[in-house]
Amino acid sequence: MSTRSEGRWFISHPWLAALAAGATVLLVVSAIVNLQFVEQLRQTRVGAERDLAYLVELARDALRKNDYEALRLSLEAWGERHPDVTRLDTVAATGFEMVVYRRGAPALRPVVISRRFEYAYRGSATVTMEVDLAPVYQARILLWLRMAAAAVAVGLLFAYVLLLHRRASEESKALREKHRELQEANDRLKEESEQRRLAEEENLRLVSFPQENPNPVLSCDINGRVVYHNPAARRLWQELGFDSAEQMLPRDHFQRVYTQRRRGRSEYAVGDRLFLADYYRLADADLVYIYLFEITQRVAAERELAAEKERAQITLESIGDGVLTAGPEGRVEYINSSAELLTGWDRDGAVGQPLDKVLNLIEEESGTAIKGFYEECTLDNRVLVFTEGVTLIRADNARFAVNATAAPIRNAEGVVLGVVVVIRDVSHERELQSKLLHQASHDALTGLANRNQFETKLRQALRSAHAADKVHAVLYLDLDQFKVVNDTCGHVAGDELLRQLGGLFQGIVRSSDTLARLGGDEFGVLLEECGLERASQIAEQFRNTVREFRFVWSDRTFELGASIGVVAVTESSRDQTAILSAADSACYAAKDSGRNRVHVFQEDDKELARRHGEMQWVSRLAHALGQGRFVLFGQRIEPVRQGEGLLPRVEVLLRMVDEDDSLIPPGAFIPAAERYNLMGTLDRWVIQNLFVSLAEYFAASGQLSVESFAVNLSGASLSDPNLLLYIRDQFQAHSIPPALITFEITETAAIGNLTQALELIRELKAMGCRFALDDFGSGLSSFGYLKNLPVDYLKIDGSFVRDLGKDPWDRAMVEAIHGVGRVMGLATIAEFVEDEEILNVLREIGIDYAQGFGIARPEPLADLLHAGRSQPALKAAR
Amino acid sequence: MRRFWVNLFAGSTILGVLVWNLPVPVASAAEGLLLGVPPYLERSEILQRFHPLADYLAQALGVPVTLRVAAGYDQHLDFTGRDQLDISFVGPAAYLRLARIYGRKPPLASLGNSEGATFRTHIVVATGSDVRSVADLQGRSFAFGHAGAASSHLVPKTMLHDHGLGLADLALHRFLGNQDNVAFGVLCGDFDAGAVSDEVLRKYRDRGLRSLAASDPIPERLLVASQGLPQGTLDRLRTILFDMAGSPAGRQVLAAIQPTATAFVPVRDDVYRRFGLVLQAAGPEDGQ
Repeated sequence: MSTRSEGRWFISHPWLAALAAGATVLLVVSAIVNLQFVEQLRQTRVGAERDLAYLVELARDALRKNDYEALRLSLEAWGERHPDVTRLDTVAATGFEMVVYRRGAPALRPVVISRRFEYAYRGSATVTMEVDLAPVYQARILLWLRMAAAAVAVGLLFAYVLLLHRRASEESKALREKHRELQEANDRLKEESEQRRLAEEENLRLVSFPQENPNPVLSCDINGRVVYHNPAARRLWQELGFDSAEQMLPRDHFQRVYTQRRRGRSEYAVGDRLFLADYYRLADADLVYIYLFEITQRVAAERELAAEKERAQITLESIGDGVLTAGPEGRVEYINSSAELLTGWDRDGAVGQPLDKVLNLIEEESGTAIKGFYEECTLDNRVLVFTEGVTLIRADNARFAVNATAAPIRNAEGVVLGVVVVIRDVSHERELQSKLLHQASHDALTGLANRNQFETKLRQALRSAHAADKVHAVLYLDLDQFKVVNDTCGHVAGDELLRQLGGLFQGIVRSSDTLARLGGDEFGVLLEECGLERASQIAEQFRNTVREFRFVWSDRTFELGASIGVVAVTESSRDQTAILSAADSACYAAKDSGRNRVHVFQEDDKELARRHGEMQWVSRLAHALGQGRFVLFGQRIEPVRQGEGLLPRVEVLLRMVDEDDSLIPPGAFIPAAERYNLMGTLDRWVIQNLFVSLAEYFAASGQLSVESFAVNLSGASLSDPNLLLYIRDQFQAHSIPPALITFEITETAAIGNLTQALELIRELKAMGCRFALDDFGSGLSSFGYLKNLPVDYLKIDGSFVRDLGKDPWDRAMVEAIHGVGRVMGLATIAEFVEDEEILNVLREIGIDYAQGFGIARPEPLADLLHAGRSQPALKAAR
Repeated sequence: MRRFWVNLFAGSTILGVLVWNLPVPVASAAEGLLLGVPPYLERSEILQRFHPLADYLAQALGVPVTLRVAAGYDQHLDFTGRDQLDISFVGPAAYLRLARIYGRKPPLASLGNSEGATFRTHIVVATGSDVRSVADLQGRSFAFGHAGAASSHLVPKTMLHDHGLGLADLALHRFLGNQDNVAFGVLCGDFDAGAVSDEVLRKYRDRGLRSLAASDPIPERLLVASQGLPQGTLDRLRTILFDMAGSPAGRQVLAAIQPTATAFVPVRDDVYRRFGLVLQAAGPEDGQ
């Protein structure tokens, strides 16, 4: 309406409309002109910038050639060709005006742009251009005038059009009125026609509906008499064997018809078939419609479903697993008895509560609550299974390890209706599993980590060293003297010692470190994120702890030591085997250096280099053994006092013949042989070859003025259970009298294998052999063990004898040893007797035998035996 | 008869070809004279300076005198040496070089000023430069004009040499063709120093050029003639040139060529020969 009225206003005042149109056009034109002007200014500016860029390139090119004249000519010529440019300057960085170009008249609306540029390593200049924008402004005025003229023209034209329009609209108004009247008449006709069509359709539908209905439909009057039935009703009563429709209706049919107000239902049985009669009284009419439905199958299905549900409920109640169901909003709908016990919620309290309130699950390790599994299960429509590390917190805060499963409940269309959660108490299984895991990774004796666990941790540490450039350290600890405890007090004592030490060690390491028993008396410590220097300090702590520890067992007190190898685990470490090997080597190096020490593994380790040298010796020794390149030497041991009828003794020594026939002293190859378990083989070689030589000698001459031949037995041989048998065989094979053989054992070797050594000594002594305890006095607790070793001779360690004439302390030691030997009925032998002075002191003390370069040098055994054959007896000591 | 016409035609043709190919001067006095000037300054300035002389000579001789500015020094020397130019304005080094290569060109007159027939050249720096002496130029950059020019190269090189500096002692040196470019190069800061003559120094002094050292007097530039120019024309030219100082029009011509010029004076060959000895000490022209 408002548009129409405004239209009328325009039409009734065409000149005002024309003025308004003209003003509007003028405004629009002004806007366009200004936009055009701004665009022209922009283009001029862009053009000037582009020109300036060109001029800069021109200037740069000329200045690079130092052709200033060309620059001036070029710019002046360019300025002449561009009438809008009123000024063009080029000024050097020094301020020197290279080119100054001016057009005659000054600019009316000047715009100055300039650009600085570099043209050589030291040269820069600025080109300045002044452009006159006056033409652009003039163009704007001209355009505006044109546009204004156009606006006036448009206004006039518009006024004329409006006049024409006013005339035409008056004519059309009359026509529109006529048209409207016709339209209204037409609409009325259409409406009446539509109503008639709908009424006819409704009539048709109402008539045909009961006839077509497959269900029985009847209508009866207010007295209950059936006045209409459809074909389906007829088919039903005939099928039921009735004669009329009333017979198949409920018993209370007549009463219901009479009392029925609007609508009612009645379920009833006809034989074994069930029916539902739906009564519907028509309003304002004494007519009741009855719709019959057979519900036999539906009722049977409902009963079956109820029974099924009952069975399921009983099943759920009787199983050991807890079962909860939650509805669409995540609230508990059902909870069985087991779940009541597990959650601590009774059914009444739980139903309607949020599921994760009743089922308070947490992650065992982190203690974080497991929330949102209802949403996760229903939204993702998937089964969630929690089998590892889940704990259920009961309402009374008791905790159970549980396995839980949450599965969505879907209807036939797959729509999720809720969630069923099954929880099982697995506390017992989890505890068992934990125990098994602990047993698999820990040492049963000490409770420390076992080797397997240690290697696992070491692998992890190695990975972190490689990946994150971290530094860790490994300590490899081997107990000194452990065998002494084991051999003298039994394995029970040994085990107790390891348990006690394990407990002490745990007090040294941090919780982040790994302390493990690697086997026997060996312990490993993995110090995580620990530098080598700090690791060495910790290793010292371990060593001091062991040194200060006193193990008491059956009234005996033992002091122990620990040899510890330290190795760094860095990004350059190859693998765990290499690390453990290095730690083991370092530990051995600590042992070699005198035990009870810490040795830090270095890549250029001299100790380890020595071990490497020893390994090469192993190969040479093996070859020499294979080729029999060993010879026996002998060194005489003379009685110190003459005239007592004592015969000299001979210590049998071993020399290796190298491939160039040079002789290699035992000091060069014995350490390697000891380390690599070749000493037993060497000892057997000595015994066999000595016996062969003696047998040959006896066969040739039959006389020998030597009290005995002393054969050294290594620690390895002492612990060799087959050695005794071998020696017996050799005695028998070569018919050598056992009394002719003395076995020399070192204090250290004997103590290290005490039980077996004692057995061997007893057996061989029983055969007639004798034993000497070598290097006596050099051990840690020589006198303490002496009474356990049934030896015949004490060989006093050479270190006490070498300076005997000068050092009163050495003399006191030798006297003490001799005194002990005397009390125990043992003969004493002094080593390292190098001169007459020492011999005199030995004689004063009462030592029985002397051995050393001052008495006799070692010589080939064959020569020594040959000399003995030529003399009735070996030369006595002076 | 027919044979006669054939011979006449053949003879005429041969004669025509010979005449056509005969070497002739670029211009004869009747056709007008060519006055050549080397580009020792900016081309436009040279035209401005020498047009009055060309007009003056044309008026005095009664023949057209056309002014030519060569594209480069070498081209100018070549044109002059091969007598392609009737009158040539040359510098003292070029005069000596022409004699050495093409034979002595007849000298017409040299420029004279209040100090005689000499001028000086200068080693110049910018007013604000930290260079205080020629010795300070070690390791600096230097702009020369033309390699063959006495004032903008040969003499400054001897000046540098006198201060113990060879070209190798400079960080950089470059030949910029003419002395205006040298002045610009120094004033723009592209070069630490350069070499220009008296008149160029005067021209740019107010714009920031400063003399670091001045040379000994150098014989002035002079006009030489083509060897093919008739003796009469030579004499006539010399007379006109020597008389120029006596008339206001002539003095204007002289002032246009060089503001300090007061006259054209007879050429003294001995002075140029002595200068030649000085140049020999400077070594060969190089740097082209």
